[in-house]
Amino acid sequence: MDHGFGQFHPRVIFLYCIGAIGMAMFFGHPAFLLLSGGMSVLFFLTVKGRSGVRFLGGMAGVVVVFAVMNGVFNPMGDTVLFTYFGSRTFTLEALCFGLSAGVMFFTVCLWFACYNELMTSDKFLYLFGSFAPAISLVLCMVLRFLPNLKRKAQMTVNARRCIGMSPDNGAKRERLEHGMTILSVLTSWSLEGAAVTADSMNSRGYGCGERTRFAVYRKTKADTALTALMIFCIAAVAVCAAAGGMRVQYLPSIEIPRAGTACVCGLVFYGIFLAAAPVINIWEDLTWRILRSKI
Amino acid sequence: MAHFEIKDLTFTYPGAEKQALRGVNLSIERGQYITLCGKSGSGKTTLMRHLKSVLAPHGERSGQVLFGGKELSESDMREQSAKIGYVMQNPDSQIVTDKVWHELAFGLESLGCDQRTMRMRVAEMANYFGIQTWFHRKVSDLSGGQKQLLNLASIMAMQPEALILDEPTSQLDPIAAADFLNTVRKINLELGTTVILSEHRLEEVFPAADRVIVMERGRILADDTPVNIGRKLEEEKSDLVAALPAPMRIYYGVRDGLREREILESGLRDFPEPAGKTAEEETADAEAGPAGESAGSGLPKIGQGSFTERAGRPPLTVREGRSWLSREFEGREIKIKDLPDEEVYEDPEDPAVELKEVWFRYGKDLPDVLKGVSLKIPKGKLSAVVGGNGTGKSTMLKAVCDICRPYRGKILVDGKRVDKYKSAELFNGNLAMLPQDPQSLFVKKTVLEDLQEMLAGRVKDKAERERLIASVSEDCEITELLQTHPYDLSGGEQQRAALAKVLLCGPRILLLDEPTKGIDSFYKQKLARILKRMMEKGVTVLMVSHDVEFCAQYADYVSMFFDGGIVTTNTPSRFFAQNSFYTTAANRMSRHLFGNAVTDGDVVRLYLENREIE
Repeated sequence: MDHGFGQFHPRVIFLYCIGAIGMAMFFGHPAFLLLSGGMSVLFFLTVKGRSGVRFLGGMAGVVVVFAVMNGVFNPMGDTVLFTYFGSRTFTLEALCFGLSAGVMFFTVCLWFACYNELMTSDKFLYLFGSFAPAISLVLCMVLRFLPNLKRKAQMTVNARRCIGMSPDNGAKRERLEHGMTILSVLTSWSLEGAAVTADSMNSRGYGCGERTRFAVYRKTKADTALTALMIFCIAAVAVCAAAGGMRVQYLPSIEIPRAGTACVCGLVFYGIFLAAAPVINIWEDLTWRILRSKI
Repeated sequence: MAHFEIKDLTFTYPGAEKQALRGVNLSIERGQYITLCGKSGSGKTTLMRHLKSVLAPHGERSGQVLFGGKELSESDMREQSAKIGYVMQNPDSQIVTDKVWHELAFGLESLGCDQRTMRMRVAEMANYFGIQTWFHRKVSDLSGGQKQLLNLASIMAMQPEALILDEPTSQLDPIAAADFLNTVRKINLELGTTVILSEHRLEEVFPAADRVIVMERGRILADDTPVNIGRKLEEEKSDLVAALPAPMRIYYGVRDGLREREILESGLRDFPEPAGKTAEEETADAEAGPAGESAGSGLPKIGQGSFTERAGRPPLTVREGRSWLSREFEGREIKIKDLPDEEVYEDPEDPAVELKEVWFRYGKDLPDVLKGVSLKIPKGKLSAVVGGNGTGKSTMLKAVCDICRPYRGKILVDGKRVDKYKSAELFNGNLAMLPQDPQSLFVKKTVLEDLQEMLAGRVKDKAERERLIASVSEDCEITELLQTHPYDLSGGEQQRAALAKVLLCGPRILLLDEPTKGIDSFYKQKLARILKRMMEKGVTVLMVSHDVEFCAQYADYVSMFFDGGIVTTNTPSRFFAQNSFYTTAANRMSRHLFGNAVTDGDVVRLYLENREIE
């Protein structure tokens, strides 16, 4: 199950993911894009393992499509690479802009994929449960109810198939009727279940006073330290951004300012922030390998 | 002071004519283990729900319920929530949250416990119930038995003084049920928690219970120790006798047999002395034969007194049953060790269903569930497939129904490949399956409408439709239930109503998935009768089941399913007599004396035949 970075407190994971996603969406500067893209790939691979490679391949294709499409639909730009359909131009700037947008999209998608792997529903509920305890309980019951409903629907369909009551090759009307029947069964079934659930909740004291929340997650020193580091990095990057370190222009002509202090500092802190998670994962992997070789 | 005291409790549901509870008086001591039994509709659930205010049904009520000497309705909800735990039937619907750890903590959260207490209690319970390994799992990934254990654990986390369990095992398979009841017993013994349990599997709870309370039509019929209750039920020839533990049933079976013979004999002549006649015995043995017709030649003195006195109290467990039988036959030679052999099982020439090397898995990367299953089902017989939980028995039935299509191998129904049938053709008059959860077949408001739905498109003539429904309801003994909502039926009634619906397909081959799950012995006998009637009409029945006792008694052939395939097929007596664990209580109790006694009837018969020829 969870290992490495995934074992940190949900708050830390959430901060990391939101920070990474947020910043990836704002910085179009090629150096930042490459950094963020590289780190996201690294982290994604440490989380997913070998099975993530195919997804990466697919996403790389998307980047190419973005670049080409932008080139085709956006005729702006000074450097014309070639013209087609008589007068339409395909410019280098539009291509580069598309490429940067594609990489940005690619990176954000990867961060989201990592987020999905790390922030399971219970972690999310744990984080936001304290703001709205009632809603968080309802959410958690819904999370349990939906797969149950799906399973029950499948069961009913199967049960009916085995007595020849399936509309496999029936007319449209028959199929519609069949669908309605299943729906009505599911309704009465869930009402029936809800009555029992309500009894069960009541009998375990639901509603007899203030509810508290059981926390399976404990905050450790490492959590605090990492949080502090990440907040510091985010603040530093923000300052660098305000100082204009990430300014870049693609259209109508590509203008990348010479790397100044703000840009370099921004890159360094951005890098530290993003590297935190993959480094923790890789570090853990290495420690294991070393430990194992000693045994 | 009694823990619970019920005084003159009478209760009527709104709109009902009959009283659900009539003048119930009951006193339950701290730490007692009490079993409530009675047929469905006898008021067990109504009574138990009265022991917890939030669950008490609405209606007209008189009388008192005292908890710890105090009127129950006066103690506040908080106290009741913590002190009285209540486990219901349905393992699934009782669970509120989506994760195991969260469910364990739910009650504590409601009570507003602080983090440290919760941590401690949850950890403690997870340990006690062996939940550590699935502590972080999703509830939906658990088996039925695990879910019910989780329900129990989450209640125990609140440290209740009393535990009320309303047929908690009715939806579990026998192994999970035994496991659950053992845990309840352990709680009662180790923590001294008062346990009030309603249950139809008396075999499991009888040895554990301090007191058994029998209810009938809202009244308490009897309230005594398990042994005495058994005696009373037997004397009254109650339907519940069928639910008694096998050793007890055998004991009474033997006693009745002896008495009958005694009455028969005493009317004819005086008893001859059973001393020294070895030579005669030899011939008697030879003559006795399978049917035991040479009765009376050397009947020993088996006065009523001699039998009961010597035997003491009736045996409750297999262990007691074994030693009782040993005592009965002490110093006597057992002449007839085996019942006459049934014919040996041979693969049928012309099977109704045939599986040839069937392989199946649910997904490309998932393990194989069926690994080369080969099986031939003879026509017009009841074939049973037994085997452990989750080994793929149900999947095999689904494969026969063409719901799961195997990736290798063939399935033939009446010699034709099942995937070559059109769906309408296959399920109309050929094949039909009763699913494990009969409830999933009901889609209408009444049983009658559900049955009508089956015929709507198939039979044009209205009179013919009515005739079919009437005959099938009679076959399944549900005529009185036709106007009821299917969800209001008890487990056994649902099973029969669902069976009626399945039978309206007019199947020649009937597939049953765990047909005895959650139904009591009384209904099992009914089910067996129905199946017998079907087979007389030429229907082939294939059932998969956990229920060893049922298969031993009623199946023609039994097959063992293990590791994705059929290991062996044989007649019940040969099949179960070979096994030492996976066999019936009757066999386990008598295997040290008799060779192939598998059912209660077999043991009684061998006992009597042996005693007769002495």
